[in-house]
Amino acid sequence: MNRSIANRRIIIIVVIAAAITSFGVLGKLGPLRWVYDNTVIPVSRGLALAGSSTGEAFSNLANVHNLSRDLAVAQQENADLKQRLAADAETRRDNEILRRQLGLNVAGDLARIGAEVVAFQPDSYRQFVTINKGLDDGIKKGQGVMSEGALIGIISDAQASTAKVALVTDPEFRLTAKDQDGNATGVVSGQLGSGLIMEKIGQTDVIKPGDTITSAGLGGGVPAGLLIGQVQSVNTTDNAIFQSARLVTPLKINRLRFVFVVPGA
Amino acid sequence: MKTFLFWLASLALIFVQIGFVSALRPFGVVPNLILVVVVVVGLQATLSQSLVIALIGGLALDITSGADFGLRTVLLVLAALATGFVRRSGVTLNGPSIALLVVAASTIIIDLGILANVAGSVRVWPVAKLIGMIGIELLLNSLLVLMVQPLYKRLKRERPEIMVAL
Repeated sequence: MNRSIANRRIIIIVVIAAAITSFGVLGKLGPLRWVYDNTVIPVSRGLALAGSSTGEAFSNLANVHNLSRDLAVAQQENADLKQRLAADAETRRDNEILRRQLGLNVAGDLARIGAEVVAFQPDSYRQFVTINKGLDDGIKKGQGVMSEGALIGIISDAQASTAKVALVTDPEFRLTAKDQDGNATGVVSGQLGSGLIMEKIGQTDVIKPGDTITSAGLGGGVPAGLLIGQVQSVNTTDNAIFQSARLVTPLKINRLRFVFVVPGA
Repeated sequence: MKTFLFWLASLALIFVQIGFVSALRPFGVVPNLILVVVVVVGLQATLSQSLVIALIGGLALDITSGADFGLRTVLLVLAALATGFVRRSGVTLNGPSIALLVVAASTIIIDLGILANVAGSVRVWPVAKLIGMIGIELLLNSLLVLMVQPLYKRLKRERPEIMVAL
């Protein structure tokens, strides 16, 4: 094969790459997406499970010396949560009685659609996962996604049988949130390196480390009251307009396997 | 038979990157196995084969990614072309040093490309953490070069007229 044939072949491949990329940017990848969903996803599903299990095993191995301390912390948290659950059950019952007396709708449990994580974001900086449920299952862009009782992200794109979840730790993630223990409201945004921060908190709003942050339910498809995380530290400057708070989320990206999509308020 | 094994291995490695490596995230970092394959094939086989892997692998990465469609395909195709130019320049290809160098340069460029695309949304840049992540990825990608290169050497086509195409 001489060099001119090789060059022609190279030019053809580059032109094909440019054309496919352009179609993709315009959102016209129909047949390719179908091929991807029906070939890559089924294989990726098993490999992703193997990958996350292996990662978890290595992580456990590295943290084995912390196990007794983690167990003590978890037992303490469990006792606190049991106490809080009992108090909440009482409050919920009172709330239901009062709502009935006032003729208001009684808030029920949220409907949820179970899904499995079948692929992870293939780079270290953006934070997305692919789930095996899509438009055919009633999933739409903007709906909240939960795992282990906490909001872990929002549906950013839905295809027929798969959907992409933008995780709360993605740098482009934004959601209005409120402090369940104080009166602060603000915007939760993801940070590079898997951090989470709550910004635009008014100077007069009360927020302190340990407070629970939940979704505010203002606009979008995420209902109010979904746990996002806990306040780790608060940054208050006298001459600044807003306060900000660093949050801790229970989300561990490589431990995600099953998630629940919350169809909406 | 070797051609069949070559494409089978390349396809398998693309699947491994999409499914296994992205989920494994050693030290919280995702190494780029497809980049390694693109560079190693570009140095061991032909540029057109490297470009085909860059195209298929890049598209698979872009469709799997939730953002920046096209970025990975474009950067991998550029990495394949850069590898082709390195090979045309006539450098010695026997050791892994050229592959390591090209993979390291491409890793930094791809990472900076992804970070540049998200720059508008970032309020605070954790510079030390990012340098650490890029450093770990460089290390992991270098280890992958050392593992993948011998595999492709074994799968190298024996017909010289095809091997020296570029």
